[in-house]
Amino acid sequence: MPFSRRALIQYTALWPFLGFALSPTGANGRANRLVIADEGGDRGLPAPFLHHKDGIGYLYTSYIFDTLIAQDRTGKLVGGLARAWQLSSDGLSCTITLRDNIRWHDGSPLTAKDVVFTVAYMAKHPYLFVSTVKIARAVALSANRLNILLREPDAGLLSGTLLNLPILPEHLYAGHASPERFTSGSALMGSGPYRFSGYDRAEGRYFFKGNTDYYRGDPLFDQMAIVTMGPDAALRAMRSGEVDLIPFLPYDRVTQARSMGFQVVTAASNHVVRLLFNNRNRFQDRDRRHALAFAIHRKALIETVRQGEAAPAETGFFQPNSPWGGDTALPPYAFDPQQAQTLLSKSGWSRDQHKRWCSDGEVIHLTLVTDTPLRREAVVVSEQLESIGLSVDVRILERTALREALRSGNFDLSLLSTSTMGDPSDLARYLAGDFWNGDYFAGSREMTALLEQQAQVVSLHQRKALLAKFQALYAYELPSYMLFNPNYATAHNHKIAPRFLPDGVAIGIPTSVHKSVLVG
Amino acid sequence: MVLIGFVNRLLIFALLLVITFYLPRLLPGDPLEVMVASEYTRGLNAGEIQQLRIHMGFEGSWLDQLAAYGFGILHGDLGYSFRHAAPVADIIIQPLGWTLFLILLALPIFLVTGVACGIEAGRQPHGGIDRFLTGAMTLLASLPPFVMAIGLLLVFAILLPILPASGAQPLFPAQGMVAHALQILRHALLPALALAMHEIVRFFFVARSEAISLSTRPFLLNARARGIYGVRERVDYYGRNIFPAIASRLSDAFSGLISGALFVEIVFSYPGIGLVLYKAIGERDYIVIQSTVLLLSVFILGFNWIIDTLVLLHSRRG
Repeated sequence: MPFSRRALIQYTALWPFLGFALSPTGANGRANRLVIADEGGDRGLPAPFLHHKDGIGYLYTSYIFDTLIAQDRTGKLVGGLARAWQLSSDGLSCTITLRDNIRWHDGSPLTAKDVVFTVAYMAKHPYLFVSTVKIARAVALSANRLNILLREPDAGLLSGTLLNLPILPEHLYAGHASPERFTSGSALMGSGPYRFSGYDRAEGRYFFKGNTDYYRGDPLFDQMAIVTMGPDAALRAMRSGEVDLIPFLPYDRVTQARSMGFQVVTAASNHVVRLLFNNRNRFQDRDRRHALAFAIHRKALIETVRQGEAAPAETGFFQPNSPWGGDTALPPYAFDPQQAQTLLSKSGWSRDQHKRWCSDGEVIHLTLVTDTPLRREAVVVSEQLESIGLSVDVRILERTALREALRSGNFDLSLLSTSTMGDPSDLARYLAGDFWNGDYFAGSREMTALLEQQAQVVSLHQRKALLAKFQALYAYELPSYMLFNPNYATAHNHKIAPRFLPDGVAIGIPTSVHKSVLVG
Repeated sequence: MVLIGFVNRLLIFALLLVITFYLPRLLPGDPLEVMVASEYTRGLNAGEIQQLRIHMGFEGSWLDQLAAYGFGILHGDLGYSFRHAAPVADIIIQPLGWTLFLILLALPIFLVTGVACGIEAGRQPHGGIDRFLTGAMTLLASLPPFVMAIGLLLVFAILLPILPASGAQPLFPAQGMVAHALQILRHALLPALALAMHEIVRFFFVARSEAISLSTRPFLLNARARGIYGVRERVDYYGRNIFPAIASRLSDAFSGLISGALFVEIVFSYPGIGLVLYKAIGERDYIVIQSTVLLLSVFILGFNWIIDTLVLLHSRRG
C-alpha cells in the first residue's frame, strides 16, 4: 500500500495540531513543548535518504536517528549507540560494543546486525553525507558486538564516519532497493531522542515527540515543533510565547532580541567569509595573493558590513578553538597598502601615469564574483582594492552561475562563505579537488601530501601535528585569504541552554541546537 | 467552435510540454550538481555520480528523457523529485490548493470592486465621481504588485498589527473547524487583497469604457426617463450588458493572477505554488519546474476554454 502510506505522511499535517491541542498541559497551562523557528523552510522528510542535502536537513534527521559515536554538550566525542570501541594498532579494524537494551522507536531491539546492515546498505546506496568507501565490511560478533574492517587506515573513522553515519533499522529498510523512494512512516523510525510525529511540506513544519525510552537520558520535551518563520515574525512570536527558540538569529537583530528581554547566545561561527584567488591564472603568484591580503583592511570591512558582529579570521584554514589547527602563530597580514604595492611591483605588475596597475602595458581589470548574501562585502573589498589602484569589477551571480564561474576559472577573485568545521578527512578535496567552493590550488605539493597523510594516520597526536603544519602552510601560501569569522547567534527563552560547538555538530554544522541540549 | 477551441488548446499543451521540458535544461547547472553542492556533502566518485544520475532519471539523451516524461504525463504521473524525495504530485498539490484559494478569494474582490467602480465612473463620464475614481485607479495602476503587497503588509500587519504577516494559518490552529476556517481566511485576507489590487484596475477600466458607451444608448436614456435608478439600473442595465466584455477579459486574467501570486506569496511567505516554483528554479529541480508549469498551464487553458465557451454560448443567445 505505498500510496496510502505516502498519503499518510503527506496529510498528517493536521495531526500534530490535534496532538498539541489534546496533549496534557504543564503547570503554566501549556504542553511541555519546544517550538523552534527556522527561516529556511522545508528541509525534506527527516530520514537519511529523504532529507534535503544540506546541513539543517541532516540536523533534523539526527534528532530521530542516532549514530555509534556521539558528541556531548561541549562537542567531545562520547558513546552513542556504542558503549565502547577499540581501534586496532594497524588501524584496519575497529571492535565496537553496543549499549545494552537499546531499542528502535517501534520497540524492536537494536543489535549489531542493524549496524552491519547499515554499512552494507550505505555501500550499495551512497549516502551523500558519509562515505563508507574505506570500510571493507562489518561483521557481527554477537548481539551487541561487531567488528568493522577497513580497506586502509582511516584517520576520520571515529570523528567522521562513525560520528556521522546514521544507523538504520534492518527490519524496516531491508528489501528497499531505492531508499529515496521509501517514504512511508517506517522510513522515519530511528533510535534517537525524538520520534517523528508529523510534517507539513508546504508550510515547512516538523513535529516530534520525545522518546521516553531514550538510552542517553529523558528528552526535555514531550513535543517539539520546528516551524518556518522569518526573524521578525519569529521575534514577535517569541514575545507572544508561541516560539521558544530562534537558532539562526541574523546579526542585525541581536540588539533587538536582547532589548526584548530574550537570552542571546553568540559564538564565532567558524563559517568564514574568504577571498578566493584564481590560483589557476593571475594569482598563481604568491606575492600577488599576499599583496591583496595586505591591501584589505579587515577590521574596517567588519565594522562597515557586520557592525562588529564578526572577528578577523585566522589566516590558516582552521579557526580558533578548532581541535585541528594547532596553536602556531600565523601571519595576520595587517593592513599595509605600501607593502601591498611593493609586492605587486615585485610580481611584475607596474603602474601607469594614472596610477592604475598594468600588466604588459594593459590595465588590469579584476573580476570579483560572488552571490547575493555577500554583495555588500564584495563592494567594500572592491573599494579597498581600488584605493591602491586596482580596477575591480564586482559581479553578483545567481548561485549556480557562480558555481559555473568558479569551476571554469572565469573570475579573478571570489567572495565565499565556507565551513571550516567537521572532520578534515576530505580536506584535500577542498584544497585542490573538484569541490566547487574549494581553492583549486595546486601550488604546494607539501600541502597536498600533508592532507593525504593526515587522512590515513592512526595516531590522533600525529594527525594533529600534520594538520598544524598544513595550517601554517595555508596561512603562508594563502590559496584563499580568510577575511572574517562571523558570529552566529541564537535567541531563546531559557527552556533549553543552546550552545555552539567548537567543531560544529557532526559533519560540521554550525548550530547551537545539537540533540544533546534537548535531552536531560 | 467549442471543439476547435479544445483542439487548439490541446496543441498548445503539447507545445508547452516540450518547452517546459527544454527551458530549465538551458539554465547553467543541473539538479544533481545543485543537490551535491552543499559543503556538507562528501565527494562522490564517478560510479556514485553515475548511479545517482540513473536514479534521478537523467540517463540517455534529452529526447529519451522527454519521451519518458511525456509517457509518464499521459499516464497521469508527474514524475518524482529526488531533491524532495517525493512524487511531484505530493509536492505541488497542497501549495496549488493554497494558491487557488488565494485566487478564488481575490476573484470576488476585484470583480465586484473593479466593475462596480467602473460602472459608477462610466455612468456619468467626466463627472466628479469619474474624475476621482479614474485618478485613484491610475495611481493604483502605477504601483507594481509587489510594492502594493509590501505596503499592505507594512500597514495592516506591522504598523497596525490587525492581520497576520505571514503563513496560511497560525502555528497552533484552533481546534474547532469553524474557528480554524476563520483563521485561514484571516491569513489569506492580506495576500488576496494584494493580489486583487492590480486586477481591480484592469476591470475598472474595462467596465468604465463599456459603461461610457452604454450611457449614450437609447435604452438606458429611456430607462432613466422611466425613473429606473439605483441598484436596478447598475445591475440590470449596465451589469448585464457589460458581462461579455468582463467575461472575456477574465479569461486572460487568470494567467496574470498566477504570476501575481508568485510575488504575493514571497512577500507574505504564503505556502503557495509560486514559492514552490521559485525554489525549484533555484534548485534546478527540473521535474518540479516542468510539472508545476504544465499543471498551471492546464488550469489556465482549461479556464480560458470554459470562459470562451460561456461567452460564445452567451453571444449565440443574443
